Amino acid sequence: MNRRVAKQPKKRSQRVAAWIYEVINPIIEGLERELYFLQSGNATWRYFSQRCEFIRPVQEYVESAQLPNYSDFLVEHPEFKKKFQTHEKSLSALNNSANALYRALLANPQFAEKVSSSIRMYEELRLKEPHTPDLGYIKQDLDKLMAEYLINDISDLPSHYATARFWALTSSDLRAFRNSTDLFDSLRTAESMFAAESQRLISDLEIKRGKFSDTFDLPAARTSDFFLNR
Amino acid sequence: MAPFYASIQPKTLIFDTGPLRELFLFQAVHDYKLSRLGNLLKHVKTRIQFRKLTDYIERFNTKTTTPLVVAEISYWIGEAEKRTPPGAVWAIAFEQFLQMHIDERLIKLLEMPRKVVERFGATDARVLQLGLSMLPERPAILTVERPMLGVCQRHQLEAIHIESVIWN
Repeated sequence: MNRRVAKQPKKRSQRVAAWIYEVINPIIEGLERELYFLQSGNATWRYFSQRCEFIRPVQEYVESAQLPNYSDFLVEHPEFKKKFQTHEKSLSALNNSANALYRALLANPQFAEKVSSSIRMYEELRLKEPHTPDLGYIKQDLDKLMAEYLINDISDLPSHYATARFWALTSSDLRAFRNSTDLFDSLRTAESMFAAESQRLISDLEIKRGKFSDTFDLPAARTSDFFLNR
Repeated sequence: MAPFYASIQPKTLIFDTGPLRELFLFQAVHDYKLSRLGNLLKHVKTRIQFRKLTDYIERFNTKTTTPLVVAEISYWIGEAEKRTPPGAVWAIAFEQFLQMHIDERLIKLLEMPRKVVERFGATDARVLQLGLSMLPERPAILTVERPMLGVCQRHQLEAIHIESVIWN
């Protein structure tokens, strides 16, 4: 889309309000969510989709009905197109790094043996304590799920999960693989680079929002009476 | 003090749409910070209530529902994902179905009493009929529909409202 020859928007412009409330704020919210997860080392990566499920390209943080406002914002502020592309490159590196680690864990004989011995130990426990949850059909994918928990640095699981008791009993042994620096180093690097990129993008968007607020006399967040009082 | 349902020992839990929706929503809002969905939560508002709900669910060896409940969940997720990254709520739904081993059992329209369908609609009627068809497995229906409780009682079928689980 080409940049239009635009007139300067007026004070309390609806168009600029849409950029703040429907584009910038949801993106900041999504980026803050990324940092929330990454602060605890959780990349939200899932084995069934082979990607980070709650860390997404910037555009996906904008509601689908607001995508025309997103495009309009980028046409008028093309510098953010480049910044968003940098975010997407870092995200791609993070996904690639998690995928590579997943493949490495599944190909690691020590990891396979540790998962198998943990299952044997758990099944013996179930014979003694019949109320111990059945792993059911998860058992066949347990190595994949354990790799996912290690990649996401999961400590506890919700109690109603079939794998909650299994993970509580076996995670201390399995988590030793996280200390195997050669396997996990590249993921940690990708996570910290990505988090730094997200933090930078939040700052840039907050500065832009501040400028809009000052120039167009708009609050940084939607207020209930804003559109009524226009 | 033990929760009031501790003395009741049904073996199979049948999910109606509402409790599954609350379960997915709570995780979406509180664990995955999809805060734009927060105003959709109707029953489970606090971490303690969520814990009571999951503790209750955990007591059952078998969990099941009907494909029509899944269809209702699908419609609702489609609406919710207009406000979230695409596929984010589905990721939660898939994980919950996998981790709770939720099975789906088909109940055909013609297998259901027409009066029940007329009164409750095809989804709730199927949940009820599923319960009746599983009586030897000692089912309990978890629902957010109060009229469902009365109809289940009349059919001597265990049913529990989500509010009874999260407030006791």
